[in-house]
Amino acid sequence: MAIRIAGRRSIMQDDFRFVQNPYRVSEIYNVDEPGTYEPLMYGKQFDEFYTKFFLNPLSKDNNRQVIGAIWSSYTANRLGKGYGKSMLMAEESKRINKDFGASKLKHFGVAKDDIAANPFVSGYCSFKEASEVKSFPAALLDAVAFILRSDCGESETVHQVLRRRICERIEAEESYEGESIRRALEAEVRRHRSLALQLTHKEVRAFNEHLCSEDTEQLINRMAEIGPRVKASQGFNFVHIFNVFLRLAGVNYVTYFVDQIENFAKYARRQDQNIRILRESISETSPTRDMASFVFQMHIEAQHAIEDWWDNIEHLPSLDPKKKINSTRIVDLQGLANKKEAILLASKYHSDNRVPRSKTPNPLHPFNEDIIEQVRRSESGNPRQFLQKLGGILDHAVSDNRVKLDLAYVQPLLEDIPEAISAEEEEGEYSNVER
Amino acid sequence: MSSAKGELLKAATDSIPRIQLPDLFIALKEFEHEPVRSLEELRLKLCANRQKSAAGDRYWSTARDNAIELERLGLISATSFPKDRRAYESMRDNKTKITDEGHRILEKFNNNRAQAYDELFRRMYGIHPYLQALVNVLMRKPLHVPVVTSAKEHVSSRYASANALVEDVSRQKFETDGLCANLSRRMQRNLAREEQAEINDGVWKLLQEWAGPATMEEAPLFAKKFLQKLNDVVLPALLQSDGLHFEFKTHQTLWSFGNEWKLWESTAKHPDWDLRIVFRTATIAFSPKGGRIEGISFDSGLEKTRHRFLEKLFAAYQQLQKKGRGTFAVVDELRAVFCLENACQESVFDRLVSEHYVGSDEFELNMEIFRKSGQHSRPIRIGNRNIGLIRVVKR
Repeated sequence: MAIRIAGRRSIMQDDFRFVQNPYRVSEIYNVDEPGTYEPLMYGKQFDEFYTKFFLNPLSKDNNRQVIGAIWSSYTANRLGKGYGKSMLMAEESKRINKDFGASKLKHFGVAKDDIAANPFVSGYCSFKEASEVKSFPAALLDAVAFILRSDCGESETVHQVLRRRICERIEAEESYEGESIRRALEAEVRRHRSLALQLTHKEVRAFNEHLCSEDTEQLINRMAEIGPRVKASQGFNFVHIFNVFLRLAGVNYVTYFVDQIENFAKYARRQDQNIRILRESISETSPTRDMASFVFQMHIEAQHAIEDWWDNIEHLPSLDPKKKINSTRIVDLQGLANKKEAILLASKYHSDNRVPRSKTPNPLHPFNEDIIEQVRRSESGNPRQFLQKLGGILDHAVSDNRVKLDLAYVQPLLEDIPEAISAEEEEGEYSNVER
Repeated sequence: MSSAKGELLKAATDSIPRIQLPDLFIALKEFEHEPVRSLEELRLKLCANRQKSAAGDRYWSTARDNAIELERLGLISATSFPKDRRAYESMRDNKTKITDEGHRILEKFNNNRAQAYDELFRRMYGIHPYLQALVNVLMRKPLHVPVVTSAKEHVSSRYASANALVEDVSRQKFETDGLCANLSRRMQRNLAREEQAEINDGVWKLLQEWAGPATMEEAPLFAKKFLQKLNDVVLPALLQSDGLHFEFKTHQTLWSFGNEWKLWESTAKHPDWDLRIVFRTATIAFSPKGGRIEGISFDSGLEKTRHRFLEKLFAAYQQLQKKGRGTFAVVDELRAVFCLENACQESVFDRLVSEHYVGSDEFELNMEIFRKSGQHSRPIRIGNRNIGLIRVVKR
């Protein structure tokens, strides 16, 4: 519990009506403790995200694969940090997995029968130096684990629901469900000749057994124990097996989001070999090539690091956002493109951190719309910097014993405002309406 | 118009503020939660809205001009305003206070923006004689304004380069005959003797004043400024019979006001005219004795124009075809012909083309993307494409 100093008024609680400063000093996404999430802050790109990576592929009977990217191509920020790419990929994946995408499809107006016939899942993984996730197979195995342990329905995991669906579909023998599923899985794997899998390999066999049994926790623990070398050499085999498992459960579409690709670009020792394996695995191997999409987080530096191998040598589909032809596979996050998005984001942070039952003049209190807009402008619409700056202003106000905030107070705390950031047109806000 | 009435109108002087109408509401909005605001707070509000740094005293004069106009309209009260930048330094914390009328119009703006703009028009019409004069003309007929924008095209081919113009002006010489001949061609009528005399007199005075600076400034910059001043001679001379004896910048400001009020529109792209045409896009009803506005009717607004839009567009397209224009009409010209014919705003045209881009059973629209040809061309934005050329086909 936080301390209170006797005789000193707590401006944060008593005036600003926050339990604590809603904004962190460093607003970096953590998949386990995501904090406040407001999808509306992505504006138009949110619908683009669903359209390009889910709705368009699901509109096809087969050949659903998309190899795409989520970009933040703002040139003044070559590392593209702080635009909310990771949060979008991971948090939306969690929401999709909760009901196999049903509520999302409903939101976009898909008919009830089509929703039932087209369940899908989504995984998120990240290249992590500290966890030895340095290769695509290792990263994608993390994405498989992400999906399997995702919450689904009221109290189950995706793994448990998939398993139940398979049991129903293959009419598994009672009390021997695990064995029945394993047999069906191996039979289905053998149907795909391009899957040159050694089913008797010790790790593969152990993975299959845990996948077909009902204990998700044990399965995830088992996957975590797989060493980095085996992950690098066999990782894609696990991904292919999981995709077959999805098919058995009647799930014919999955999207894998791959984050922090710059770490791959920086640390992977044999990038050429890695990208070659990636191409073979995602583009040449069934059923993955028909049912699985791969979406990579990109920014200018990462593109420079991998583009020679990616485009020129391995002929993987270009992820260059400047080429118009690629636009159906790329979502370029623009940050907070207008005042409305900034207000939505700040309001959400505030409502999550208000003193219970407190009343405030407006959701932005102690800020106002002008301050929010000025901060957005000063940070060029970068969501992370915007949030951090708001937090800094609150800390300053507390330190100055300032209970009322206005532009005159905030202005000196902002860096010089860039003149030419891309902002959506808002000139209609005060203009006359069409008559 | 009788000369006595003309003289009367001429006698009335006015000062149209060089502002944008939305800024008045932006400034007024600053009073929404606090009845008293300083000039500096109004300035910060304007900077925030324009998405510009508020460093230094940027937009101090915009804040002042808007505050002055709000005070004249009775929407705020204030003690004094700074005359220049230096005075602003000491007066930036001067307080202004919203009045009851200000609160009323602000509430109207929040509830019904269109009505608030109508109300603003009524109030500004009441205090600005120049605005009254322009409205009185526009309700009777379109206004033809031969703005001089090119020394070569609108004065004399000798002035193809800015240097030639500068050299003439520095010697207190000018092709006034060429100017008058071009004005006559552009207005499609002979100039009256008094008009010619006033132009001659005005140009002579201008040359006395500008011969010195002509030798000191960069030629292109000087030519631009000189043409601006030339318009202050030409326009009052040609439009004073309509009671419009004010300078060019006031005309421009009033055109932009009408555009914002959706009451009139102007175009310089009509193929029949080598000048700017200003025309009404709504009907204003006056009290029987005149002077007071009784009603505003947007009888050629969005809804009315939307009805049988493609038919009207085809008619405008055919007008261009009869003039021998290409199969694909330039959007600027098509827009100008359509808007003048249907007395509508350009924004209405743009929106309706965008709405009807798929055509209909009867009409087909073919579009070409815009390729930058001239600095004043304005394409239509449809989806994420800029359309520069349109063909209308009757199936």
